[in-house]
Amino acid sequence: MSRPSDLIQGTLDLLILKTVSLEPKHGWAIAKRIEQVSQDVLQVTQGALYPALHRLEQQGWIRAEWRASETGRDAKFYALTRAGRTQLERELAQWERLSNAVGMVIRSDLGASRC
Amino acid sequence: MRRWIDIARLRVRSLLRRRHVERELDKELRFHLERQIEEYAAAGMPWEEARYAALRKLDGFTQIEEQCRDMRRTNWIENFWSDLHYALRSLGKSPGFTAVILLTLGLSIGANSAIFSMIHGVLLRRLPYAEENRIVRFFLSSASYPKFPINPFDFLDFRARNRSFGSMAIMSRSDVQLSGMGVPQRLTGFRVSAGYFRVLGMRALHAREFDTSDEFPENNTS
Repeated sequence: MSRPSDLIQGTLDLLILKTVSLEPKHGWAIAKRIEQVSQDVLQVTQGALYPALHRLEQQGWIRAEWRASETGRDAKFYALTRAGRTQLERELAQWERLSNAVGMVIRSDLGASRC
Repeated sequence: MRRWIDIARLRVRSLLRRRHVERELDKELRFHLERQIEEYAAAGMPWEEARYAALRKLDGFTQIEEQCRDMRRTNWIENFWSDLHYALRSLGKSPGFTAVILLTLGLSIGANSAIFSMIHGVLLRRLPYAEENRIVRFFLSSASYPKFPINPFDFLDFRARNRSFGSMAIMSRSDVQLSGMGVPQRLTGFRVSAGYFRVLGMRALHAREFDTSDEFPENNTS
């Protein structure tokens, strides 16, 4: 099972923001969605998910609302705020930059390093 | 900006409606737990076993709650109050220690304010005279006596040649005794030359101030 430290710092925020950007979701659905879309490569533990959700809410990136869930019970649904959307774009750009940079380093020609 | 309003609203809510916020947090995590149990049960686990497996997966309910509380960032205010209560309770339990601390604080604050009121009186407070920044005091200064009093005859010479000061005066300590039927009393007094009150910017309400002619005993006819 993937622990929060297995994810690069800040990646969980990006995953959560992206996941709630489509439609409001509760914590369980966010975790499930991340697992499904990543084909079970990314497993989000509750210990990492809920503190992250509360932090993002406190920072004003997402807003919470109690609503009836698909099972009929009340659940806390999180939705992206307008400021959160800007933040998501910022984090996406940063992620692209970072993963490109890492890709460039690890895929660089081995022959060049021989000399 | 909308975001800051949201943030402020959440902070205030965490502080003022703590119990409500706590209940919500509990409810939120419990919802997750129930969904996990259902998932395990749907996969064919007996209900009781599913419950244990879900609890194990949740990995520290109270710990997660505490981390969520930390994210609200009002913990320090809540902690401050409980720390304060704890401190007061511990002080109440050891009155001797409390007394020593209070005494130490009292004495040091008292000494401090005494020292500072002296500094204020001597160094910082302005003299109660008009144009007090123009009043100076003369001493004769030498290596062995940096502040030696001026003798009256020198003063007469200085005053006669004065072109730098608006007015000059001299004074000398001259206590007197008041005696009569009872125990004699010592009165603090000064002898002053003409112009003394002018130097200090004071004017006589009645009659006139001494002038230089009053300085000679043979002129004291009145």
